[in-house]
Amino acid sequence: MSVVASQLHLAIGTPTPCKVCKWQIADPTNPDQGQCTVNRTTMGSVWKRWIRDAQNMTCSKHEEGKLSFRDHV
Amino acid sequence: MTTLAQPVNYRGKIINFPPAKPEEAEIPDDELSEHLFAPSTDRTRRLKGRCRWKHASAGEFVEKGVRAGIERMQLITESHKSSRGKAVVIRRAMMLANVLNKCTVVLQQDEFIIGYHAEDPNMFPLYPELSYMNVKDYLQSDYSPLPAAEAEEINNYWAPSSLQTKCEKYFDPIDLMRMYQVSTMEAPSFAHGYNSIVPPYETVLEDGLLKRIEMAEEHIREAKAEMARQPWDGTKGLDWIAKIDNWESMIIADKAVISWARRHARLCEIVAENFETDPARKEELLEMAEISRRVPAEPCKGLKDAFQAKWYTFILCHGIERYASGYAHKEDKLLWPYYQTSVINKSFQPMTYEQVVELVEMERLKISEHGAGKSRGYREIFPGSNDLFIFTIGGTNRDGSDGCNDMTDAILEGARNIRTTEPSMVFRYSKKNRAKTLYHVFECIRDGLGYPSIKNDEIGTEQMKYYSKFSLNNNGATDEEAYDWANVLCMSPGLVGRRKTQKTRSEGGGSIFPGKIFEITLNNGYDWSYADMQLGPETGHAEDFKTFEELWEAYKKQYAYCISLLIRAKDVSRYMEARFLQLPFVSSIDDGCMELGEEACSLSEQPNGWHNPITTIVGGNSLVAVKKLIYDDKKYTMKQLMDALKANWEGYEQMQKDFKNAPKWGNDDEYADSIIKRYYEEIIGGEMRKITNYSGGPVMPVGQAVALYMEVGSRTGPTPDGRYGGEAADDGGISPYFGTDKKGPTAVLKSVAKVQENQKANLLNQRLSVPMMRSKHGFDIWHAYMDTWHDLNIDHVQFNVVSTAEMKAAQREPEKHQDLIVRVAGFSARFVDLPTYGQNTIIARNEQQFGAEDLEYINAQL
Repeated sequence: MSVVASQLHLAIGTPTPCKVCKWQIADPTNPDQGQCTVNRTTMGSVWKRWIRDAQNMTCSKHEEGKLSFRDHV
Repeated sequence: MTTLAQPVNYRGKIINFPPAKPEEAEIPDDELSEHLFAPSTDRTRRLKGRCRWKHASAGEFVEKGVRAGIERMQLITESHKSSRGKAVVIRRAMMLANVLNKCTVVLQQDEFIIGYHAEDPNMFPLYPELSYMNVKDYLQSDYSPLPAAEAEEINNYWAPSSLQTKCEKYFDPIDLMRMYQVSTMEAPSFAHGYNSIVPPYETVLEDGLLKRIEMAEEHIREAKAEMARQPWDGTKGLDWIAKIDNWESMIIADKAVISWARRHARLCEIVAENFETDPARKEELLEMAEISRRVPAEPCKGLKDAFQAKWYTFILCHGIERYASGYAHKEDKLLWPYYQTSVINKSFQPMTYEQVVELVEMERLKISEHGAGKSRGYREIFPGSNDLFIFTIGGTNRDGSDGCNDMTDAILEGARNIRTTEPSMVFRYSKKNRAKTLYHVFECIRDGLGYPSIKNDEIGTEQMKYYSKFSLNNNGATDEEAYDWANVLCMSPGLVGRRKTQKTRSEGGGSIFPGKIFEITLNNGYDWSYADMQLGPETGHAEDFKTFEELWEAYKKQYAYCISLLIRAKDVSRYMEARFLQLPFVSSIDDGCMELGEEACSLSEQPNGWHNPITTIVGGNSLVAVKKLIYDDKKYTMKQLMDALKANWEGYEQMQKDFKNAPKWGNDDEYADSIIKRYYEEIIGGEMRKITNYSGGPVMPVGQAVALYMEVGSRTGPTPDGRYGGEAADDGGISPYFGTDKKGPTAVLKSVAKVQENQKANLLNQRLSVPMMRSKHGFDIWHAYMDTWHDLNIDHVQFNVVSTAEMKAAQREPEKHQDLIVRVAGFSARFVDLPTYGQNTIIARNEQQFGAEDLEYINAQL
C-alpha cells in the first residue's frame, strides 16, 4: 500500500515523530501510543485519530510544540 | 442591569419575575458570580486564596507547580524489599506502616483540619503497584516525580508484580488493544488504576482504632483456640490461617495510623511551642494537637473530633493505602450526633452554628487541595476538576422520617459561601424533606454551583433492597439499612455505614459507549474513523440490513460483546486485588471484615454492580433517524447514508439537515420516545442485566457522562443523528442531546419518565433560566418542578443556572471570572478551567424557560 504523506503513516526512526508534534496528545492508557488532533471543525470540535506508535509515525502536517489544554477537548 | 424573565400569562394572571433580592437588579448579567463569594470568616477567605488546586483538563494540570511526589513510591518499595517471605497481606500492612511512620507530616498556615497524603501540598502520590503504564505516562510528562531516574527504577521494580501485569495475561492482546483505546469501552481498571471506595467512617468515629485493635486481637486469640481444638479437622482448621493473617495485618495498620496521627499532634505542639507568635493560633494549635492525640485512636466526642477523624480516614482510604476517587458518605447523618453534642448540648467542644459553617468551609478547601495520581485518561475526562469528590445529604432516616437536620443546613450554607467546585454533593430528595433545608438546596443551585445534584430518595432505597437479594453470604442490606445510602461517585448509589459498603471500583463503575458502538455496528464492527481496526465482532454491514430489526440485533451483539469484556476485566481485577492488593486499614474498619477475618476487596456482602453507559442518546437518536428516514419513510437508502457518513456529510448537506431534524429524544415525541424507551430497556439495561459479576448480582446501568461525552465524541465519527465526526456526544445518561430539547422543561421530564424498566439510574442535565430562578418565584417554580419530577418516578436531575452572557464574558476575560462554576456532568468545574470546546458545549445546552403550559403541568402556585 502506498504512503500518503499527509496521512499518518509508519516511518521507523523518523526525525519528526508524532510524539513531539503539537497536534499529538497522549493515548489515554498507553504512553507509547497517542492521538492526533489535527482535524478540527470551525466550531472547535476535534476529530481524533489513534496513533499506534507515537515514536515511529508521522505525517506532512507535523509541527513541533505543545498545545494548551484550552485547545483540546 | 440584570435581565428579567419575560412575563407569563398564567391562570388568568400576568406573572412578572422581579429579582428575589432587589439589590441584584443593578448587577449586570455577565458578572453575577463575582458577587456571590461570601466566606463566613477571614480565615476561610485566606485559605481559599492560597488553596493549591489540582484541576486538570485535557490531561494537563491547570495550575502551575503541581507534580507527582516520590515519597510514597520510595517508602512502599523499601518496605516491599525488606518484607520478603511474609504473607502478602502482612506485607501490604507493613508497606502502609512504613509510609505512615516515615512520611513527611504537613501542617499549613490557618488550617484547623490537619493532614496531607504527600510530602508537599503541591504534590500527590503515585501508585506503581497498580498500573505501570500510568506511572510511565507521568515519567514522560511535565509532572514526573523527582528524581525521575529513581522514579523510573521504582516503576520498573514494580511492573512485573503490578496489578496491570498480573491481569493482562488473562486477556487476548486484541481485546486489550480495543479496551485501552477508550472508544467503545473504558480501559480496564488494572491498566489505569482508577478506583473508588466508600469507607466505613462510622466505625472510626464511634469505636476508635484502639477498640478495633482489641477486636482483632480477640479474634486472633479465638482463632488460635479453635485451631488447637481436638480432634484436628484440616478441612476447617486451615481456614484460620488466612483469617489470622488478615487480623494481624489490621492490627499493624491501625497501630501505624494512631502513631501517624500522633506525629501530627507533635508537629502542632512543636510549632505552637517554638514558632507561633499569635497567642490565639498558638492555643488553636495546642487544641489541634490534643485532638490528634485522641482521634482516631479513641471514639470521637465532639464535632471537631469528628471532622478530624473523618479527614484522616479519608486520606488513608483515598490517597495513602491505595488511590481511590470519591468522597462517599452521608455527611449530615454521620456528623449529626457530634453536632448535637457540640452545638445543641454544648457538652464537648462547644460551638455555634456559625462555627460549624466555618468548619464546613475549611473541610471543602481541604478536599479542593487533595490531589490524585490519576491516569492521563482520567485527567482528561473530568476537565476542570481534580477528582470526583462527592458526598450525600438529605433523604430519609431508617424509620422513614426526614433525614434533614441542622448539620445538613450548615453543609449547604458553607458550600454556598465558599464556592468551590469540590466536593460536589448529592441531595436525596423526598417529599418528607423540610422546607428550610430545601431552600438551602435551592440557593446552592440558584447560585450556579451545579450541586447538589438530586437523587430520588425512594428509588435509591429500593435499589439497595433489590441488590441485597443477591448477597452471596445472605447478609445484604436489611430493609432498615437500605435507607443508609450515598452516591459512590457521580451517580451510583451504595450503602454507607459500619459494613457492607463498596470497597473497590472493580465492583462497579465500568463505562461503555453506545454512541461509538452504534458507529461500528454500521460497519461490521470495524472502526474506520479513529483506530482503523476491527473493534468488535463481525455482525454485518449496514447496507445489508434488510430491516430495522436486523440493525437492532447487530447493535445488541456489539453492545453485549463490549459489556461482557468490560465486566470480565473488572472481575479479574477484583480477583487479583483480593490476593495482591489487600487493604488492611480498610478491612480493619469494616465490621464484616473484622467479624469474618476477611479482606476488604475480597468480602462482598452487598452487590453494587452499577456500570455506566455514556453517549447513549447519540446511539438512540441515530436509531430513530435511521428507522424514520430509511426504513419507514424510505427517503434515503442505507447506501446513501453510509456514503454521507464516510464523507462527514460533506456534499450531503441537505441529507445532514434531514437526519439532524429527525425526531429527537427529550421532546415528548412518541415516535422517538417509543424507540428510545425500548433501546434503554432492551439493549442498554437488558443486555447488561444478563451478566453476573463477582458479587453475585446482576450488572445494572447507571447512565452518566462525566466528560467522556466530549472525549468519546472526539473518537467517534459522524453518526446518523446528524452529528459530525468528532462532535461531542450527549452530556448525560438520559439527557437530551444538547440544543435538541425544544419543547420546554416538562417535555423533557415526560420523555425521561417513559423509561422505567431495567434502567432507573440515569443522569439528567438541565439548564434553567437564571432570571427565572433568581426571581421571587424561583423557589416555588423549582419546588413544584421537583415534586413533579419525583411523582414521575425519575431517578436524578441536576442543574446549570448560569447565563450565556456570563460564560461568554469568562471566555473573553478568564482572569475576571475565576469563581464562575458550571455543572459539566456528574461534577462541577470552574468555567475558566475548561477547554474552549468544552465551554462551548455547555453554552450550547438549551436554557429552559418555564412557559404557562409548563407551570400548569407542575402545578406551580404563583
